[in-house]
Amino acid sequence: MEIRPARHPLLEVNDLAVHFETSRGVVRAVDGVSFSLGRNERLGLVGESGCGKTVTTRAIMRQIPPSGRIAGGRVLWKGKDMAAMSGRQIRRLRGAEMVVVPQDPMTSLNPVFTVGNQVAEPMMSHLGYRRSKAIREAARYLNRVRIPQAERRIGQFPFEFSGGMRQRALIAMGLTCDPQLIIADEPTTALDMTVQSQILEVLSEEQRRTGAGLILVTHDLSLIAKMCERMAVMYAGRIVEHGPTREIFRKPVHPYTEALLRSLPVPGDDRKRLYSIEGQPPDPLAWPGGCRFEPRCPHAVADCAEAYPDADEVAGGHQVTCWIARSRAGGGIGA
Amino acid sequence: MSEQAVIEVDRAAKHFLTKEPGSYRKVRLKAVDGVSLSIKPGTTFGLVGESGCGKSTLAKLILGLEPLTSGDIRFRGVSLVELSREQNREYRTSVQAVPQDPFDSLNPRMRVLEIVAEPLRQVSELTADDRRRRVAEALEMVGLPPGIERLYPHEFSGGQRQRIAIARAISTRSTLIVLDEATSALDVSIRAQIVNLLSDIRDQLGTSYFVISHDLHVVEFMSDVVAVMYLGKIVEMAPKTELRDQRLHPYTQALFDAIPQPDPDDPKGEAMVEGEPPDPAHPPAGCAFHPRCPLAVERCAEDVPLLREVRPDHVVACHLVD
Repeated sequence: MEIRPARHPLLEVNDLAVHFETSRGVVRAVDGVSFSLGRNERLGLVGESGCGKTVTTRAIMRQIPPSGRIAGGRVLWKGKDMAAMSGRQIRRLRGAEMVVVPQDPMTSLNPVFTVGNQVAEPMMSHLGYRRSKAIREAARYLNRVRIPQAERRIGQFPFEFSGGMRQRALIAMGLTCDPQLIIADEPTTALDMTVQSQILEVLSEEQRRTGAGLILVTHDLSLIAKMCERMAVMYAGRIVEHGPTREIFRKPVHPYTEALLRSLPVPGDDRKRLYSIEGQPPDPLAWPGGCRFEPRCPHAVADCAEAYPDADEVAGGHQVTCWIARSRAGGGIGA
Repeated sequence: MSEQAVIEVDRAAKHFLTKEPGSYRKVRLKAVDGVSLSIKPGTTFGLVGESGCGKSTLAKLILGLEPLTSGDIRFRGVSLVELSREQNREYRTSVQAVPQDPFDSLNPRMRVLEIVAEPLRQVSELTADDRRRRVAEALEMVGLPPGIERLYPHEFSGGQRQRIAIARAISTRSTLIVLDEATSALDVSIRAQIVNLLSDIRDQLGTSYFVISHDLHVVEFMSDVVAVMYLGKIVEMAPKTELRDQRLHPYTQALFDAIPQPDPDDPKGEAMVEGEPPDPAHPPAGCAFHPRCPLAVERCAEDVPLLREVRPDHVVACHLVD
């Protein structure tokens, strides 16, 4: 009799911690992050600079800079612990099953190779294609991300491409080996506004077509609203709120999420002042002992400084890490 | 005209000669090409546009950091090139800038006191004690704790550094502050603090702002008048509330429709136009936007549309707008 294996999500991150050794001490950049992602799912990871969102994705890819190390927790890829994989196995995944669309298209392509060569490269190393076949395929992929005259374009160098075209080429490169996980780290920050919307459209279409899981890392809440069904808000190395995007935008429960949303100017905004969170994010060398948002939180109570709260499920699939989550979720917020 | 404008820009143009890649030929790049606008006391003028449209060059012209190719810029009615020595000193002290990157724009070897006091050296009648008092006032106004005058920039966070840069700009009791992407490098929560601070300063000191940003929401929030620039020209300009209801130029519409809203149920953020802004050294003939414009007709490729007033205080340069 055949025993069917238990169904595993594509990616599971359990209590992940990443520490960096610095001359001033240990920076706990990511300090207990958990989430999971399935195929066809889009998760937005949002937070301000230094909150650990990029380090989290680097840890998933096993590409932590040498000064850092994964200090705890596990990353499971289709149920397999990535820590138990050999370097070779991980290299086989990276660039094929899991790909990154980087932030800066200007510096992410090698200036001395043609675009065609670079888009073809993953197919040669992962799929064993011969160069001629890989280059032919590269043209097809460039065409798919709507680069006009792709056959001619594959022979050109990155400097002959505009910023938007380079980002399209990088997306094409990621698609060549049928990715199952696409990590897009601020994919449009370096681009102009009219180009940003074009790139998001291509990314979104291709993610749907391939059925890959998508993690969109950004500081821009509007992008998450546009692109992702689920979102996780990070603050000081931890996820403070995690749930369906629509629900969180309608009724943010964590005071930090609420403050972030209220601090954005919106069209037709007749407020005299923006809502602002006083103070600054804490020093990563010395996170506050209790809730890390407590020093800036307008709703803090005595318990908040004592201990870090556990994630509390306030509604189906909506978790909030806040001592007063329940009372806030109960009603009376958003006013 | 009821009130004298702080700055009037009159058909200003700035052309650069740049080398054509791959040849020895020089081409004329019209970074700013016939721009007119005026900034009234105590108001905020917002300028939006994509990279390469000339918005930062225009800011440099207003700051007097670049000579004009043609046209004129007047400070309180007097052309910048005709300012007397005394008037020039006044212009230099009353028009200040807050640059984009708070990590690059403060000299790392100067103390906060020296940084904030630097523009005050232009004010000759001030003694060292006066200057110190002015610096303390400015720092208090931007919400920095007292006693930090002897510290160096590296001891501050990005938001605090931007406050120091703002303190420097207001220490001379300036009348116009040019903010070129002054909030772009900041995180959301810090950006809100700085935007609020700028609006408080305006209320207290009656300062005018010239705000440049690619962040349309921030510009719209801060400004009284908003202008949209494309390839060296203003294509539409109107009071904020007017522009909010009536975006007439197809580029303005495309630009505002392209930004996703912080609302999952808002469909905005669709790509309305194809392609990217053209190379400013080789602008298309006719209306510079016509190759990307979804509404373009034959005439758009031939005639350059002129800026004209289609509603009170609302100017637009498009053949298709009546």
